[in-house]
Amino acid sequence: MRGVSLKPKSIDLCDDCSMLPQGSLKRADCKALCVLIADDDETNRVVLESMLRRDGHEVYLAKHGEEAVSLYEAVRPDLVLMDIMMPLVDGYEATRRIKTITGNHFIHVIFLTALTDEPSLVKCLEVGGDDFIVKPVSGAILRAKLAAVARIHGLYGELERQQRDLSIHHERLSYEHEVAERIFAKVIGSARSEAANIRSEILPLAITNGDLLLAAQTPSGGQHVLLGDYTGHGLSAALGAIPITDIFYAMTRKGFGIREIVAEMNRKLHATLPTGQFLAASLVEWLPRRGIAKIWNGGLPNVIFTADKERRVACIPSRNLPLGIVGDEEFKIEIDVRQISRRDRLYLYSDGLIDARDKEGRMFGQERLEKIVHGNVDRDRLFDEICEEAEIFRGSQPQDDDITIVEVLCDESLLVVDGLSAERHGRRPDYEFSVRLSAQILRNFDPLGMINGLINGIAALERHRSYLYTIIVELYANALEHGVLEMDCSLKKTPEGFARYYAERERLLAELAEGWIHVDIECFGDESSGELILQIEDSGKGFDVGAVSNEIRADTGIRIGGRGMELARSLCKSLSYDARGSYVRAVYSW
Amino acid sequence: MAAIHVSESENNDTITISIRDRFDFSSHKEFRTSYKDRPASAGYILNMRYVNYIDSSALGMMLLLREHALKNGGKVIIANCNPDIKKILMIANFERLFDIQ
Repeated sequence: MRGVSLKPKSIDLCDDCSMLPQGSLKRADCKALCVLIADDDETNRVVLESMLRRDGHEVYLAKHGEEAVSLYEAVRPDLVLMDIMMPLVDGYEATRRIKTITGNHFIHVIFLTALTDEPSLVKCLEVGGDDFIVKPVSGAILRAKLAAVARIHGLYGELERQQRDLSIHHERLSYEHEVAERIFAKVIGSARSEAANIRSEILPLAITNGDLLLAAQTPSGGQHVLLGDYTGHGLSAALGAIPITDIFYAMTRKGFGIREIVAEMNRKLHATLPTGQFLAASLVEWLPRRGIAKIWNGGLPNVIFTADKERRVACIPSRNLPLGIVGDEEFKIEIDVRQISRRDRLYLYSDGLIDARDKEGRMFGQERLEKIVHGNVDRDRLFDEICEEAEIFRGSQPQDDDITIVEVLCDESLLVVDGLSAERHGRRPDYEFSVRLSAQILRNFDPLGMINGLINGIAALERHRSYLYTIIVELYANALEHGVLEMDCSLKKTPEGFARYYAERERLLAELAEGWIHVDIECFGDESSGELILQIEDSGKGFDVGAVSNEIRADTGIRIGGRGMELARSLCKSLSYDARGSYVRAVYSW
Repeated sequence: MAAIHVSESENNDTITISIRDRFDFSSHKEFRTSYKDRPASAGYILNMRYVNYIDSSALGMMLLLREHALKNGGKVIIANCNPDIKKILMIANFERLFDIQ
């Protein structure tokens, strides 16, 4: 170890900043730093200390490397001015230790050295030093270096602050994401019905899925299915799912058809979503009793229909704008209606399937999908075949988008039936008939006689004919007058109005050009016990069922429209209109 | 990220926005600045010649541009789409909202 006395004591400091060339370094640049001076020579320490203090820096002193390390740990300075040759622990070793302690924190170490040989100077930097100043130290150079350190420190502090902000921000975001995910899962989870006729494959891209699949049974024994694909994925997509889910289930439960549901969803999304956010979707309204499915497609790829027995395949393309883009007045609804036989199927899927890429970057494509459908032999295997082909095609390629594939199997026996019809589930009616009365028929003859004749032919109903006839007459009259003819029943409040009402009815009926009434009767059981279900649907805009019912209570003496309905209701086990008032279902039991 | 190039016609009545490669969420900010920071124009042409991929957020961005244009009484033309992109626009029925060429 070298003697202390051997060390050069030559620090040549200019005492006054004013001696520095103007412009190259101003005092303002020298932000106050916390500086640790490690030097075993007292004179060097004192001279340096007094200069740095005068410049406004905070100064700590260490007499050797050991002390430098422990002081460093205690005060965490911004800068260490490190002598190399010191007793106990030299400057190299002290620097190495300090740099180990600091970890990610930024600390500047500048060696002050009398050694000028290349290996010594290189070693300064190798052990973790940031710079060196050769003794004798010029005050101007030292100040300039300190100013540079202060600048870097400022930048570094800023960077650290930003990084901290960023990580706080990131944490908050992932927390909110998690919350959104839980809300989303709750909304979907509480609502998703386990429909036995629906199979689905959902491959979400983000934690929260941008694709939305909903299914629910209608009060009239049909089913609504929705597949939606939001702009983007994750949080924003999940948020938009909430109103859609609410509307879908609430309106389905109340008996609305998809036309009204689609209109309401569009209204809601247009009002709440910012421009640029929208929902591409397909909705299916399957009416097994009428043997049809209504399909609305707004922005999703072709819905595919496959007949069960024949080899028939059809595509229902998107004819509509996605939901939430334009307001009510611009929003046109185009619905495709298809005849559906038992075990026909519908396939809905998001564009993630069509746009999926293989490792060469080729798209899965509509044609490939349709080829699979056309090539299919066993319809029960088609859904699996599509999923498998998509899987094989994609290989290990990462997903670009959420992918959802849905199969709707139109088999009424798979639907979970409501309480009313539970006892008949899985049974065909003993008698059933269904008649669609076009405008031409309505205009030219009264179908009630024919319907009555059919009922008369059923032995089981012998003791119930007059009641049933009353029910049918009343409900049919409502469908014709308030539905197809769109007449206002308040006209019947006065005796004169009553006469005028029927004159008006004659006139409107004679001029009727379009419209229809669908009557559907199913009868179960025998003379001792049974159930008859009457369903009447009309093409009209519907009427306010609630208002009509209220009118009866307020106005008793005179026969008005609502009274007939009330009479029918009193004879039936149950009678319910859909929310619009254009579909009624009555159950009569004995 | 898509590179976006913006040019104005000589009489300043049309702004052409050209996008390259992928038009997706990553282009969001750049796309927005391409028209937000300029004086309103009577017409916008979205040049899709060099675009080979779009996603649904690109459709969203088109709607934002449309809103911006409508506010100032202008309109948007989507030009030079390749067949794949055209198909996507047709599925979304965007031909009702934009002039697609």
